[in-house]
Amino acid sequence: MNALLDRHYDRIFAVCRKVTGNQADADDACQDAMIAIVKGLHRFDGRSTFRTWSYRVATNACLDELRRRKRRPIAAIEEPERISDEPGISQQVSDRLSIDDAFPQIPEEFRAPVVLRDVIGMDYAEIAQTLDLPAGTVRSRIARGRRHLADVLASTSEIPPTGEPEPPDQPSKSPS
Amino acid sequence: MSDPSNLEHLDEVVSAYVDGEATPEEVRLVEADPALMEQVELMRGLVEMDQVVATPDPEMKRRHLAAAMAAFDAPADTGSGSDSDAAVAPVVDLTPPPADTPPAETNGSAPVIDLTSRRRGPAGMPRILTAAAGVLVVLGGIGFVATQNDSGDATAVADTDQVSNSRPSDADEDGGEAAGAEASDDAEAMEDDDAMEDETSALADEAMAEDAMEDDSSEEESAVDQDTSGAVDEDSSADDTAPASDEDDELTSPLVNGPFVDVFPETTLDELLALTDGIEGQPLELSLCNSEFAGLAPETFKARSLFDSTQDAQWFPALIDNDITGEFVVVTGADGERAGVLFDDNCNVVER
Repeated sequence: MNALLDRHYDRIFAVCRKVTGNQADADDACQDAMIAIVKGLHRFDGRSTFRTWSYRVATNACLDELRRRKRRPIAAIEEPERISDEPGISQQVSDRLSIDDAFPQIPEEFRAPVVLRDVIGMDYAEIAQTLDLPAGTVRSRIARGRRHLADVLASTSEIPPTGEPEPPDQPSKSPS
Repeated sequence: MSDPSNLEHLDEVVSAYVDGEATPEEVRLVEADPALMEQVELMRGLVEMDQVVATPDPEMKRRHLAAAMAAFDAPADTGSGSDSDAAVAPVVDLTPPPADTPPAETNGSAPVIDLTSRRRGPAGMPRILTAAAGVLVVLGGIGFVATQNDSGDATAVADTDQVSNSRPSDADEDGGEAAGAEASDDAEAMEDDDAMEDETSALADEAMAEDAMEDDSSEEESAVDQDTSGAVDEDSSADDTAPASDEDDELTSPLVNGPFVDVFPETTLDELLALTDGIEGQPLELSLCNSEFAGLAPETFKARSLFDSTQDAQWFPALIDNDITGEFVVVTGADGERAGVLFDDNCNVVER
C-alpha cells in the first residue's frame, strides 16, 4: 500500500498544487486525498485505472479545500518551492512563478481540466471520466482555462520572462 | 474574427489541436491558417510552462504517506460509511518540524504502524473481491482446465452454463498436471497458504451468494462468460473430459486447486496492461506486478485470473500469487509452466 501511494504521490501533489493554487492548501488537500484514497479503496471497482480514480479523489479533495479556503483569509505570497534538478532551472523557476501566480486566478471549474491535461497528460476522454464531465465540456473548459491563463500572464507581463525570477516578497504581480 | 463566439470556437480548436484532440477537419483548418498556427505555437509555449510542477517537500510527503498508512491501518469505520471520496481525515499535524529535526521514523504526529498483523487478516477484504471470487471460480476453472486438457491444441473451455455452478473443487479435480508438481513445491514455500485458502474459500462462497447483488458487474460477468465460451468453444465440456488429477500435492496446492480470487474478473490482458498506463517506465509485461492490484486487496492475496491474450489469440489462465508487500508474482501459464517474478518498488524485474 505504501509503495502504491508513494508511486502516485508526486503526481497527486502536482494536481493539488495546481488546482488549489497555493502550497498550504495543496498540502492539506494532498493529505486529505491520500487518506481518502486508502479509505475509499473498497469503493474502487477497477473499472477505471487506479490513476484515474486517484486523481478524481485528489480533485475532489482540492475542491473541498477550495470551498474551505473561501472561509479563510487568503494566504500571503509564499516562498518558492523546490523544483526538480533539471536543465534550465532558473527559467523553470521563472515560468513557474508566473504560472503559479496566474493559476489561482482562473475560474476553479477550468483548473482541474487544464491540470489533468497539461500536468498529468490525460487525454480528454480520461479527463471526462475523471471529472465526470462530457468530453465536449472538457474540451471547452481546457480551452477557456488556457485562454484565462494566457490573459492573466499577459496582464502580468512585467514579470521577466527569462533571467532572474522576481523576488517572492514583491507583491506586485497579480491584478485585482 | 471579431465575433466573440467565433474567437472562442477558434481558441477551442487551437487548444484541441495542441492536445492532438482536434478532428481532421479542424486540423486542416488550423494548418491552413498561419495565424492559427501562430496561436498553436503560443499555446504550446503556455502548455510547456504549465507542465513545470513543484517537487513535493520530502518531509511533507513522508508525513502524508504516514498519515495515509495510519488511516489505512486504523480500525474499520463501523458507521454507515461515507460516500465522499474525500473522506474525513484523521487529524495529522502538518506543521513542519524544526529544520534541525532529523527525519525520525517515530515522528509522533503521524506514526507508522506495523502492518504485519494486518497483512494476513481477512478483515477488510474489498467487496469486489468477494464478487470476483465467484467469477473466478468459474472462469479460472474453465480456462485452466481447458488449457491443461488440450496440451497444445487450441484451448478449450467448458460450456459456461454447465460450469457456472461448479465449485472450486471442480476445478481442483481438473487441475493441470503440468502445473501440479511445481505448483505444490512453490506453494509450500509460501506462507499462510492454508490461511489464504480458507480466506479465499470463504470469499468464494460469499461471492456466490452475492453474485446477484452486483448490479453492473453481474452484467459484465455474464458478458465475459459469453466471451469466454465464445472465444474458445472449439472443444466443449472440458470439465467432463479433462483428466482428473490423482496427485495429492496437486489437490492440496492452492496454486492449482484454488479457490481463487480474481481481482479483475472481466479484465482482458490488454485491459490489464492498460492499467499500467501512466506509470512511467513500466514495461507492459510487468503489468502482473500492477500496482493497481494493491488498491483492490489486502496486502497479500492470491488471485487467479483468466486473461485474453491478444498476442496469442487464445485464452489462457494465469494464476497470480501476488504479495503486494514483496511485489512478488507467480504466474502459471497456459502450458502449466510457472514463473515466479520478483519486482522491486519500481516494478522492475529483480528475479525471475
